[in-house]
Order: sequence, then structure tokens, then C-alpha cells
Amino acid sequence: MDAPISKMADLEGKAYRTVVDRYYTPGYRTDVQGRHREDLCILQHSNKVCIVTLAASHPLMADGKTVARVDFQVTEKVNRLDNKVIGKGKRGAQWLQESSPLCRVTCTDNTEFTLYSCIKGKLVEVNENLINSPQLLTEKPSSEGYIAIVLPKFGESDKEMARLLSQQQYQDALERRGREATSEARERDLVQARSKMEEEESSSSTDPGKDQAGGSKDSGDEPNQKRAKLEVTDKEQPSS
Amino acid sequence: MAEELKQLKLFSDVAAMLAPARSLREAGCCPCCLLRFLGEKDCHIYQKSAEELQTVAHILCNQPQGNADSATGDNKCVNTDDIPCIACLGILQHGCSEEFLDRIQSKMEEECYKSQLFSLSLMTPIQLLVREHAVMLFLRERFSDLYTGQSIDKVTSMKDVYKWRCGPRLKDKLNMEYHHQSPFLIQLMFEHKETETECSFLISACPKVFPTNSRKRKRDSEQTVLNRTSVTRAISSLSESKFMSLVRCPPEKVDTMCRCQELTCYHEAVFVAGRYNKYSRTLSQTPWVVDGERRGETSVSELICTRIKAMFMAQEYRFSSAGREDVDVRTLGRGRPFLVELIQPHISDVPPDKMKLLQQEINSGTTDIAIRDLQVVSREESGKLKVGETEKTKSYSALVRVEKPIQPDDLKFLEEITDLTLAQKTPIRVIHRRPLASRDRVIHNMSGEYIDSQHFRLHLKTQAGTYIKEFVHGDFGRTQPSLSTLMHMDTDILELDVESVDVDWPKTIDE
Repeated sequence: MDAPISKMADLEGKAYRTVVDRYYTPGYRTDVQGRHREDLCILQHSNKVCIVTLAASHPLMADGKTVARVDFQVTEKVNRLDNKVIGKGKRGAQWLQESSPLCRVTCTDNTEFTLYSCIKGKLVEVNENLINSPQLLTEKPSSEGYIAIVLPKFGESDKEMARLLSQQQYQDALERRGREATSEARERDLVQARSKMEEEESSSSTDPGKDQAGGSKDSGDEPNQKRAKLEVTDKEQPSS
Repeated sequence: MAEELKQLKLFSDVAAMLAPARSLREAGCCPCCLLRFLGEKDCHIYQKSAEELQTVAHILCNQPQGNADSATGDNKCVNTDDIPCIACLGILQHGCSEEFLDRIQSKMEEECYKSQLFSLSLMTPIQLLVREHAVMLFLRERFSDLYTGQSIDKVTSMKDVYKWRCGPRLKDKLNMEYHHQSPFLIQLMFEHKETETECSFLISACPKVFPTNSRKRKRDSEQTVLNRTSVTRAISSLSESKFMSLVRCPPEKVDTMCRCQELTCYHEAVFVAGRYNKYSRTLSQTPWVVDGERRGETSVSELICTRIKAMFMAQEYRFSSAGREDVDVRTLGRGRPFLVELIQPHISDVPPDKMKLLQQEINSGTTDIAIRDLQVVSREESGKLKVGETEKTKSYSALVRVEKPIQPDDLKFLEEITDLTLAQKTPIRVIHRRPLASRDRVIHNMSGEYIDSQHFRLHLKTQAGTYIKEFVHGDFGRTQPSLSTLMHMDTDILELDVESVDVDWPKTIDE
């Protein structure tokens, strides 16, 4: 009655997928609560339970910050650690909206971030391990460093996930952000150069062509084009 | 006949019986009820044939030294079996006839009921309570010296007489032994439409037993209010004189015989146990339905139980096992104990050699599972299954993938660990349908079998109820410690097999 032992070759034929890849679907929220770059990733299990985690593009990770403390006292009255759930239906759970704060993170450089739920549902638990080991948040964001487990209302989990960005949409959003960052950086350089030149202008004459050249190089980006036009117009107008 | 009369251990004075016997006969009692109300308790007397009982009744009605042809005498005393009895309404007459018993026999054959034992259950119309009481009061009034102080309880019950009369004869017809504790029951439900309303008067006559709360009365029909208990209570609440003023004592004669409205058979559940192996990684334990859609063609329970249910001709089955494994997990070794409860089986007696054949049939029908030690067990025995689920240990073998390269020596430390206690929070994969809690579970021992720098096979023996997958990958750090924390690296489980379920039940049959 002995069955044959599975061959290793069979397994490695298929590419290895991690636990998260096998059982969870990611959904992203970028610029949570309007805060630039503060991105979170919600992992939805095939059983519709959702896990709130940090996305790699969040400043906590992207800027290589070190987490000193995670505090679950989110308002004067609400402490996420007080959450008590009873039974299968998780009765008594704190109810979360997309804008509900889950915790407050303090870094060694004294910067602070609030992490929000991003989905509606019952709070099953927050990750208490973050109290004693706050560094897990950035070291293992998609496993031991998870933020919270949320149970959306029955039948609504998919709807909640649909309001988030898919993996592809998230990649696109990051790319867009990257381009905006580059053009913003260039703008800054531009402004800096201008002010520098204005300083020098007051002492010596300037080459008007320089500005225009700077403006016209970035043909793809609207804001810079506008600016270049403005400058040209300024120049054309008779002095007022 | 004189000898037989002597056998009738009734009143000490045989002559004293004459008057009550005649009165009962005149009133319309059948021979059986006559004997009952005269106090006969010997079952053998009741087991005489209908003709013989008629003769006995005749003799009781006539003079003790009665002549042979006195049967044609007093016409008033004649009550053949065609005239319904006032006390049993025909249950002890037509209900005991060959014709009726043949009907029971054909029903058994039609529905293929086969059992070693049987017992009978009678459900009689409630108006018989009123009628029997009326007969008793009649006798008490007429023959007070004989019947004062005698209650209906002293009279042999109709149901007992029925079982004495029909039990042995059915035994021969059905080829089953009669036993009052038999798991197989034949239930006969008698009704008598003609006298259906004979209890209605009690509702108004006994306001204490049937409160005339108008709201309640309108809601409940007469049928629901009048039941055996309430009617018994009502009758005892009435004084003799009050009762006699409301009911004719003895009760009126009737034209129709009681009819058996329903003949149903009940068989207690039969339990079949065994052990199963599971070789498929795509087979669920029980039928898997998601949002009304069936996933997967079959299941462990269906593969095992369908044929068993057919063999016992059961109405339905209930499958349970000593714990269970996930769809993608195999069960090896001697397998996992299981129990099948067969509801309303028509066949209950299956000998061991037939069970063996059944087992072979099931095994040859599929390669996904295999069963062994298939046997019938008692209800008491079946309790041992759940003990196995919560108390006994299990052994597993898991294929583990590690994040950082390992050497064989890196696995040696596993063997040094004994009785490691884990704190396991409810795994995320089941948290939608289980309460959130933390459970302590023990891993008794472990060992690692090196495969290559990224894989090894983990063998472990654990307490019942341990979540193995979560122990290996850590379940987001919610199982502490986990293999990940013990090895200080990410570990994942690729495959899991149950090597043994350490339960000694059911009894081993196959080698």
C-alpha cells in the first residue's frame, strides 16, 4: 500500500511561489490620506480575509528609516490593542473605515507616520509583535511585520479590493511618480539656477538664451513648457 | 375444556365469573377483551387461536357444567370476530388476523428489510382510553363486590395482549426473533374514524385540564389539545358519577373495525468503522461546494460511503473521522480511523466476509483512496473515534524549502528538540470561520532528512490539533516558535504527508 514518493523534479518544474504569492492577491493604495508616497499594500487571502501591510515604496522602507516605536493608541479614546473579538463572527470588533488609523510609527530620526486601514471591515487583530520588535515592520513587511488583519463584511471583500490598485496599476503609478520626481528635481535645479543667475545678473550681464535653452530641453513635460513660455512672454512684454 | 377452565386463574370462584362475563359479552366485548376484564394475565391463554378463544368465551358465559351445544344457545352472547369489540375496536380481532399479519410480511419483503430481531410498537386511538374507563365503571357499578378497588391498571393492557398474540406468529412469517429491545421496530398506527370525536366532550367537561383561554383555543385544533396525557388527566379528574353522566357505560357498539392507517419501520443506526489512506493531493474530505458550485468530482467520504450505504440499504449516511487533512495532503501508513453512521438501514446484518468483499470493492474502484479494517461496530464503540481526534498524537513528513543554503549538519539540531510547546494563533487561512484564539500545541520530536542545499524533508510527531503548515512557514509570525524562527531563515512548506495517526481503534483486521 506504499504510494510513490513525489519526485523533486516535478516540483521544480513549476516556478517556486511564496506563501504570499500562492494564497494572497495584493491591492495597493498610494498616497494614503493624500500623503505623498505613503503607500500601503492590502493582501487578500482566498478566503477573503485582508492583511494590511507596508508597501515597499513607503518612505519607511524606501528611505531606509529605522523604526523605533509602534504605538496603537491612535486617538484619545481608541487603542487598537483594546480590540476584543468573540466567536466566528468576530463580535465586538472595532469597525474600520478606509481612513481609520491603525497605528503611529516613530523612527529613530524622530519622523512620524500614521498607517491607515485603507479598507472597510472589522479589525480582527493588530500585530502585537510590533510592540517589542518594531523593526519587523520594515524588515519583514509582508510576513512577520504585517500591520493588521481586517475582515470585511460578508460578500464585500472583493468590492473593497476593487477600489484599490492592482499590481500593474501600482507599478504604473510608481513609474509616473518616478517621472514626476525627475521633472520636479529638474524644476528645482532650474529654479536654483535662475536665482543664482539673478544674483549674478545684479553684478554682471546674463545670457538670455540660457533660460530658454533650459526650458525647451524638456519637451515631454507640460509644467516646464509652460514655464518656458512664461519666461519668453515676460521677456517679450514691455517692462511694466 | 374443564381442565382449561381450571387453568384460567381468575377469581377463585369460577361461578362468580359467569355474570360479569355475560354482561361484557352482551355489551359487545370480543373474547380477548372479555378475558382481559375478567383479570386473565396468562399470556398463553391469549395466544390461542381465534376459534379457541371464541369457545373459551362461550364457556365462560354459560353454566360451568354447560352442554356442548350451548354455543347455539343465548343469541345475545354471540359475538363473532366480525362484530367490532366495544373496548378494543377490533385491534385484538382483525388486527391479529392472518390477513393483517400477511400484510406486514409483504411490506417487509417489498422494502427488503432484513434483521435478526424485531419488536412491535402500537399506536392506538385515544378514544380507547375513554372506552376502557367506561367499561371499568360499568363493571364497578354492576358488580361492585368484585370490582371495587380494581383499577384499569390491573387489567392486562391491550398492547401486551397484541404483542403476545402477534409476536410469535410474526416471528415465523418474518424469520426474525422477537425482542423488546430490538434495534428494528415495526410501528403500527391504528385509527378509528367512526369514534374520532368521542373525546371532545372532555374539553368542556374538564376546564381545569383544558383552560378555556379563548386565544389559545382558537389557535390549537382539537387534535393538538387532545393527546394521550391530557386525556388521561382529564379522565382521572372526573368523578365516577360525573363521567357516567357524560358517557354511556358500557360504551356504544360500533359498526366499523379499527384500521391500520400507517405501517412504518424504524431501524436504529448501524455504525461501520475502518481506516483510510489518501493518495491524491486534489481530493477533499467531504463534498466541496463554493457559492452553490461543486468543486471537484468526488471526495473521500463519497468514495468510501456510497457503496457502504448501498450494501446496508440505508436512507442516508454520516461520515466522520479522527481529525482530517487538507485537500493537498496525503495520508499514508496505516491510515486515519473513520466512522460511517448509516441512518435507517434496511439491512443490518452483514457478516464479516461480506464486509471484506465490500472493502475490496471500494479499494478496486479508485486509486485515490484505500480502506482497511472495515467492520461493523456498536454505538458505544463509535465514541472512541473522537477520543482519537483530540487526544492522540500524529506523525507527519513535510517537504521544506529554505531561503538560505543549508548543509546536512544544519539539520542535526532538530533531533535534539523534544516536547517543544508552540503558541499557535488561529491560522489566517481559517480565521474567517473560526474564533480568534491562541492554542498551545506540543511537538514531541523532529528530524530532518537532507535533500539538497535548498530542500529537506522534515519528520515530526505532534500533539493532535497542531497546524503543521503554520509551524513551518510561521503564518505571519503568529505561530511562535516556528521552523523559520528555529532555523533563523524563511522556510516554506511545499508538500505535506500524514505518516501515522496514532489511534488504536478500530480493531485491526487486515495485516
